Amino acid sequence: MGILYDQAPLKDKVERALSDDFKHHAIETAQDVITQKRQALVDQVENWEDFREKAAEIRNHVLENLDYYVKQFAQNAEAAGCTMHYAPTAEDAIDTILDIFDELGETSCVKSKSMMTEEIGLNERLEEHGIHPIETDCAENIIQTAGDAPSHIVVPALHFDRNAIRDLYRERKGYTGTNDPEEITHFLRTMLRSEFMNAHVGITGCNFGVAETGSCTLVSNEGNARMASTIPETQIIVMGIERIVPDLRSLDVMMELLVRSAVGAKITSSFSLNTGPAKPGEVDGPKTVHIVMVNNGRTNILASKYRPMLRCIRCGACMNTCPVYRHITGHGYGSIYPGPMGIVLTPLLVGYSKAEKLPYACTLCGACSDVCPVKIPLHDLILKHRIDMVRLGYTPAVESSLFTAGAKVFSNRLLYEIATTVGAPGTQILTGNSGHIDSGSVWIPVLNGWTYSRDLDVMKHKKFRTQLAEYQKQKQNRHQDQEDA
Amino acid sequence: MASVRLEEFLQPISRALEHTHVPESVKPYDTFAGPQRELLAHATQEDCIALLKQEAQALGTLVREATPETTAQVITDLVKELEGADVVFADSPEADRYDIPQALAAAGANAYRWDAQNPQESIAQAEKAQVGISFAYGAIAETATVVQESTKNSGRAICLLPEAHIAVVKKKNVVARMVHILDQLEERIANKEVLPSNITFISGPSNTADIELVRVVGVHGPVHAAIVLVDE
Ligand code: SF4
Repeated sequence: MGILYDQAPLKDKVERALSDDFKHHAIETAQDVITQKRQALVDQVENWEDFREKAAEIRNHVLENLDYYVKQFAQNAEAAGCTMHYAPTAEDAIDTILDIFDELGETSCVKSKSMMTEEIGLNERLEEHGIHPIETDCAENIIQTAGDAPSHIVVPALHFDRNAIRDLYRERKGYTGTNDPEEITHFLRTMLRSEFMNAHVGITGCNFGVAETGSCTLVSNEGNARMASTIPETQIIVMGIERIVPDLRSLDVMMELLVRSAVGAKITSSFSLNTGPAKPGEVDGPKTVHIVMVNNGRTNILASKYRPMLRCIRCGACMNTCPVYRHITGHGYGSIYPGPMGIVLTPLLVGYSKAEKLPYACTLCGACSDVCPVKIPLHDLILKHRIDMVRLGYTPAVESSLFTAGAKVFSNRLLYEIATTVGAPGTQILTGNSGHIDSGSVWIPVLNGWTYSRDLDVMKHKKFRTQLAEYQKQKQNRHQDQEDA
Repeated sequence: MASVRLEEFLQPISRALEHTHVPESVKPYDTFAGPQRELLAHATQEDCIALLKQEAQALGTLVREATPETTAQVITDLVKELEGADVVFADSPEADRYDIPQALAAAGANAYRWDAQNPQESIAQAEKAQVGISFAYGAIAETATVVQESTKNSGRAICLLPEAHIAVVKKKNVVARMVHILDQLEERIANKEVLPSNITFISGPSNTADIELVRVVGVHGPVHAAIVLVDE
């Protein structure tokens, strides 16, 4: 499948996503539930901002010295007994993995969730070569069974309701139970348990690679990533070159931020630190570990002004807070990387000609940048994309001129904050004279599709942000008062 | 073309950074200091135990306290509570020191000692067992996390395949935050110790919210989790 799974014009994708009421509602609920849980936990961490700052620094430090750290990681992983492979492109990664299967003579494997394998379109290519990968993450299994595309990077099957999932497994896997999520999940447990016990190859991603030790970490709630690195004799780890942290200590800061940001929990049920294959005499764990490090365009990003994007730890918080994602859902973007992070990343990986108008699927409100645990200035980078698109001639003239006018207002954060406060006189700046986000905002082309029916909700979202800012200020004041007292 | 050599792979990275070659060293960056040191900085051992219990409850993890003398009894009671007829336990010195095998046998459980000489049987027993018992390296109070190392005598499957996992932790090895465990690991590396092939930070039973965000406990890993805190 690769990065882009839907090549229809952006407008069509958006329209399709908008007309799907369940999908739309599911995303709204998910956003509300996850952001509320996240916010409650963030409020408990009094130095949350310091954590973000520290994480951004650690990630920057690694990126500034990425050649050094990739080398250190690779050498230490090798010293720990892993077999290293270096893939400059997605194609190279696929060929490498196919070679490993050829050598083993294996025709199936169990997989745990990995964005990198999705980015290189691994499953499809394995199938083409007669190798059957079994997705073992519940959501990924639902998507694989349905032959559908993910709509979120953390909870990818959000767009299916329980009835659809029940029917899917009834039809394809002989499920006979009800639509109860617990019953369906336990069916999946039993079905996949036998797949695990018979598997000889496990494919996993890697959340963080530790340079100092050559270790790879896996973060999972379901336990499937642990299964995939416990039973099969061979483990294949596919990771992007930017996944690295300098040392074990850095993992604390990363995990503090990742789990809270991703699922609104303090910790996942498991976090494994794997270093090399099983030691001699160990009963389980892989006897052989292949690590496939993938560049796939990341060095171009590293050399560009978009470098901060490589700090991303794939938590999904930016899409959970995004008003556009809320409306057009993950499928509106047509990329395995949706939402704000996807808008920045997708064009960098596939080019402007294929990414189409993706950078316009954004109101530049900056909510994403505020929640990003590694402080990626997402809305700034999206704006940079627009400027580059205009400069490189990817945007029709009429949009260019409207865009330039709009950019003046929207590049001024303060002005925009005023403009988006509900009821404030500044709203006029955003909405023209009509009081609605309407044809006056045509320069955000993707908005055309939904402003008429969904604008109210955007406003609610803004109001929420304003309230939040006020709440935070109050909290600060209260704190100050206490100190003064 | 498939895979290239490391040197070749590194070239475009160096080029992107305008390095003429891969540097031999980097300007040091302090990963030690930071906000991770501020949280729970003044927590006493007692605070840590109290916090661990509180967090465990939130995760649905059972916590029991014991002394070396009562550990076996506490464990057999837990096994009964978890309806474990078949039990697999790690072949660790603590198992014998606490007399766990005898106590389990006396309580009528079918207990299997993990056996590095019998890999297939060990896995099969772990798959069959309702309860797995392991002896953890330590625990983290902030998240009620058990830190489990895999070794020849204590396989990954013990804490993963059975429906319930009981982790036995010494109270003195409970730390406030993850960074304190990581500090210990850093120290071990500095002393040239080789890291175990796997260290898993286990926090509560496995779970998912993949269907309509409804939380379901017990997916691929354990459905029940318990911690026995031993005061020694
Ligand atoms: S860009 Fe930031 S918020 Fe979005 S997924 Fe990446 S780390 Fe998370």
